[in-house]
Amino acid sequence: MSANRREFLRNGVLALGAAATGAGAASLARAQGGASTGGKVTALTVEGKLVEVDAPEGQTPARALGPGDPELRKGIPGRKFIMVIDLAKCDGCGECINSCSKMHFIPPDRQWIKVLRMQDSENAAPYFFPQPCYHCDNPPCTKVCPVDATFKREDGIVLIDNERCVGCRFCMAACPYQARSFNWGHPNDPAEALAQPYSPEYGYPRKTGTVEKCDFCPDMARQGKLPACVTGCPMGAIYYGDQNEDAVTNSLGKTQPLSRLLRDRAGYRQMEELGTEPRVYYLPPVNRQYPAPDETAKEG
Amino acid sequence: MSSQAPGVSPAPGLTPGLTPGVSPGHLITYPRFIARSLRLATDGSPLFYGWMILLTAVCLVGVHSWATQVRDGMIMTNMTDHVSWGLYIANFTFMVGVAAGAVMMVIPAYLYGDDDMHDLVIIGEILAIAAITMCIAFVSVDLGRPDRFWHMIPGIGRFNWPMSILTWDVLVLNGYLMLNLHITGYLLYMRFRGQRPARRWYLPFVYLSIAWAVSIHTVTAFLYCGLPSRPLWNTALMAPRFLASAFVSGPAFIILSLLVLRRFSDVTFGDRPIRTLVNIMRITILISLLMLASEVFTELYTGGSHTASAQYLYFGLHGHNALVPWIWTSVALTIIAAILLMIPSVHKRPGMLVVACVFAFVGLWIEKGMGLIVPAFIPSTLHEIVEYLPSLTEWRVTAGIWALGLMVFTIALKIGIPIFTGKESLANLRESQT
Repeated sequence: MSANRREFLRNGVLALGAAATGAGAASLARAQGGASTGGKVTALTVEGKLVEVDAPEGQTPARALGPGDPELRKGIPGRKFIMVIDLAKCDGCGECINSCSKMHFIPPDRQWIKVLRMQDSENAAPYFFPQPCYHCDNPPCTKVCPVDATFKREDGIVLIDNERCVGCRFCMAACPYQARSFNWGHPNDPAEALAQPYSPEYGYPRKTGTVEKCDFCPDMARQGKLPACVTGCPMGAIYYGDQNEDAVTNSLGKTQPLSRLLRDRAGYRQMEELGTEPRVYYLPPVNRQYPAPDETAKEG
Repeated sequence: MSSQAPGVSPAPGLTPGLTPGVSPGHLITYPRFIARSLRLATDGSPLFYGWMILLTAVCLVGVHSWATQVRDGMIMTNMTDHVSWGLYIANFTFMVGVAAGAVMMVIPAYLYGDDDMHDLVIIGEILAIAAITMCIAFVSVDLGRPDRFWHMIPGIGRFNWPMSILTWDVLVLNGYLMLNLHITGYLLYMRFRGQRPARRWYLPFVYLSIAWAVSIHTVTAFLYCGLPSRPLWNTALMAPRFLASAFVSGPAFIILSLLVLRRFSDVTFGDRPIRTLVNIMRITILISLLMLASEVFTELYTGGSHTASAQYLYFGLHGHNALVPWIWTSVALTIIAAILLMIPSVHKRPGMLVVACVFAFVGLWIEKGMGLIVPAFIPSTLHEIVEYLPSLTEWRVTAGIWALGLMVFTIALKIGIPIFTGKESLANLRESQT
């Protein structure tokens, strides 16, 4: 944990350096409790100008919120979390999976972020495709939930309240991306997980007979840190940030202006035609920085 | 129903009964009606006891398996993250159809004034009650957290209405159950009292129940066809297909029940009701097959990744073909049933009629069940193929719920028929006492 924190602080410094060169900056630290400067905060525009904008209203708690907290369903004020995955950089090493699974104590039978091996046609080269929950802006999963256990927040994140879920699995049938897993048996969480109070913002201790999925790490954002999969990626292929700030940051501390990145690199979303409006964008695997996966590469 | 003080004559809205003299008040007759019903439900021939013992035994096996599933988790089923609905939801879907199909007795009886059907209509209403009971049981055993079922109760839980179609289904299914309980209970009670039922207390509900029967299967179809993630279900033909097949499986079960009643009970009726039901099935089974053919053609001729589920279901995909024997059994049974039903004299040949009805019922049970629910998950949205066949636990729980449904059906008929035919009434009770 503390190593991650140091890393983020270092990233923050790098982000500031980037700001000086006018490349744009993401300051996730803004979400940190008590770090607010009052009524105004300084932000950087895509053009590299420093501007004063209204600070988010009220104090944002640094701790993950419990299921009964009314703020839980609202999300982190003023935020609009977003992810960009650069397929040209992903070499399929699976470190994002390991990092995520370690942080969320995920059992070996499931993954919150998967790495698929994609091949669009026989003559086209295969490529690796990391796939978390897309936290869709028009989520088919929250729509079908009969008991309002899974919900969309104003900060863009889709979460599950495992203390409300009845386990009907309608959301699993509705998700076009197979993002959700079910606790078919009794979970076997380690003592470290069981010692924590339950929070939908990190999803453990697990509850038997309920659904779980990637949560976009809002508990990390509250501490001013990047999600586990982002920090875990040695290639810096996964960027995470705030759409309101128009900036995303990867594990190498490189901060990019979101809109320019998507425009210049022809960003796209998976199955756009379904109208689910995912909050995860992909940059096509052109000019790859790694050898293409061979036929024997591990699937999923 | 209004309750009255003992000894007061019936309310003006109720036509004075077939029994001469003053009827006693509801506070006296209603408990007697309940007591007599309990007596009728538990008293019978050795055949009745044998049948009920068999059903109780099967039901208890199911209860035991469900208890194990609640203790150890849904891991006792063969469902996976890939195929997240299985035998339970398959049976649920089919039973909604049977419940809706029961209306095919109500429509001739009340809308077309078919008097022969009118004498038997209570059987259709009782079937609806039994089938809905099974639907609710199948959904309950499919829940990962049955202890939290109250989250789905409007007002108490956090009911995601009107967005979630499942909340609509909770409302229409329970509404249909309430309607049929009221209609059946009221008609039987009035017969028991020897009074003519007041039209305003049941006719509006009967008409409402006809529309409601259509709604339960339409809403259930909307559960599936509104999902962009499952191309096999994402068809506007889903609700019409559900209704067409419901109007086959419902009448098929009623015909079988009538033949059993004719053989094992002393209830008498002519050939007209069975003929009407056969005529209904002749049309609905052809419509059902036509719509099936239309869907299969659209899927298979179009090709492409969205039709992979249909490919998997009918022919197998990349060497995986667990459902192929199921669906071709269904196709064969349904076509044979359709051919048998076309034979003009089928309603006069009980043997042939039984075969046709059993084949149609089983054929549609597969088609609306395993053949509809499971392949929508295969291949998964990520194009992975994980197959599914039910576990022993799932089969046991399913058998238990079928036994429960048949128990409800048997007991309700055991109470309903003698009262409805006038054999059991307050007057007869008094006579036997004096």
